[in-house]
Amino acid sequence: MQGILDGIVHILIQSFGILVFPGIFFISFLALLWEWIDRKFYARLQNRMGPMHTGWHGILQPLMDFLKLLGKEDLTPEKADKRSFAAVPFVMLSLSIILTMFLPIVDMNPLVPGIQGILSFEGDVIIVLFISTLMAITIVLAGYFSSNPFGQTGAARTGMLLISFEIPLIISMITPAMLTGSLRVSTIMNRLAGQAGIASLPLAYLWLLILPFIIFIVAIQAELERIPFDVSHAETEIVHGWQVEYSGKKLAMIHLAEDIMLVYAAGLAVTMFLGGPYLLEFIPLEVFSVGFASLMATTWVGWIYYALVFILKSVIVVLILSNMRTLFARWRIDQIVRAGWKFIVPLALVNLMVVQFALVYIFPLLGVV
Amino acid sequence: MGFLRKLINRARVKSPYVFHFNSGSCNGCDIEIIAALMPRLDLERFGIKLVGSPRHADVMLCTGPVTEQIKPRLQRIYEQMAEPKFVVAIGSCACSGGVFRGSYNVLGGVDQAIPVTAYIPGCPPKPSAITYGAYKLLEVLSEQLGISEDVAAEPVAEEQTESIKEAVEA
Repeated sequence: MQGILDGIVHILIQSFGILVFPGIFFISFLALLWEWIDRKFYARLQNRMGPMHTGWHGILQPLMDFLKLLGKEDLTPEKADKRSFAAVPFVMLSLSIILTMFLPIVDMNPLVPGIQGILSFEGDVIIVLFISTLMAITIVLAGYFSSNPFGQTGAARTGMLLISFEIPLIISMITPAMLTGSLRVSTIMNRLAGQAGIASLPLAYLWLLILPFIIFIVAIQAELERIPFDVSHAETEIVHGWQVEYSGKKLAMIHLAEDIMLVYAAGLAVTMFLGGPYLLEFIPLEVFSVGFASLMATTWVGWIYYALVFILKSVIVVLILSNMRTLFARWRIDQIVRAGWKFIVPLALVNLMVVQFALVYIFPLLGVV
Repeated sequence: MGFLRKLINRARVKSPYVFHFNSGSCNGCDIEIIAALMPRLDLERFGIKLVGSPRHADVMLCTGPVTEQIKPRLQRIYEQMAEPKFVVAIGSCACSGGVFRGSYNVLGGVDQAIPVTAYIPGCPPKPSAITYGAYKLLEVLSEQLGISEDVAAEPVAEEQTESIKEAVEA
């Protein structure tokens, strides 16, 4: 009897984790919040005010956009492949939600030391990279299924972005995996942060993360198709590219999926390079030693604390991405491909060699292991 | 269901996506539309966002007397927009044909081709007049959809109101 009750409670807690916090509801909330921060910061950098009259300083604007699109007529072009055309937004939304479930925000599995995401298993970095590539492929499909010349042009350009910037993204994520010797997102994060009883890395190792972080930020900007890499939905030349035929609910879902991808991108940068949801633990004081971590891991205070730190660090990454969006103009296609293959990919490869060289020869020579 | 309907109606007023169509204009009004979206008057304050595709748009901004040649395109693009949709005629030409009225190749006004919700006169209308027109449109929409604004959107100084009225009347 007791076993059944425990099982029911466990299932309830797990489904709460998946559906509400830190699962679908929380991620959607963050997605809308990030879009507001992005739009507001973008507007302020352009000396505009941004949304002002929807809630406090327009904080409800993304929600209102979403609701309005839900209430609009849903059009399907006559020539489009109707089923696939309708399926693509669902696939995009579900893939992006699955991606965010790999992010360790609060501890979902207390049996394993360190903070775990909702989905966490050995080798999940590979799955994360695979699904984020699949996202780009769904974008290509969205363009092709709409059977619009603009959409197909946008899809072709997305494919071109895919072959140019997916490679440096993957290579930049190899560096933290090499430093920690693991392919599990949560283990990489916990070892880099040196928390939860997991042996920490020497500080000298962390210098090696600076260059991959820069490459990662550039590549993830291309992955999200934001300025300066927004050739695939350039409004002034190919009217929104692959999104051109989508309207109503499907467009609402595509917008939400894009915002969730922003949450995923910022969260992945936080997890792989900025130490995850740990902040106070880095202060060398008696209060923040092991006891603090175990207190945080076992009580609901820890959930709020970890979520707030995660939000704080993600906002910093989102502001960096918005700043890039404001500073640059749209690059031409040939400029993007050239930048990708002539500078970013060689830089990533050189960085990989430097890291390997340092790990095998320099650090043992200096006695840092 | 009533609550959801009301919420979506409110969202419609709060986030109009506009789409810009040049129906044979001299580009004067187009530049003024862009000026209304720029830092000085920033229409994004009301949630108005410029989009490129008619499929995404709620409001079509039309500039120019509709020439015979552009009429079928205008009607086609109007039909491509998703319901509910509204049209705003910006500039004297779009309202009535302006100086081109009676010319052999123009219809004289956007409303000769498609239904128009709001008219913003002026040659070209000031960006402030466009902002005022957009705000009026949102007010009318909220009345139509049965949502009354609780608070005035922006306290405007007396002399500014005068100048806006003059600009609209001119």
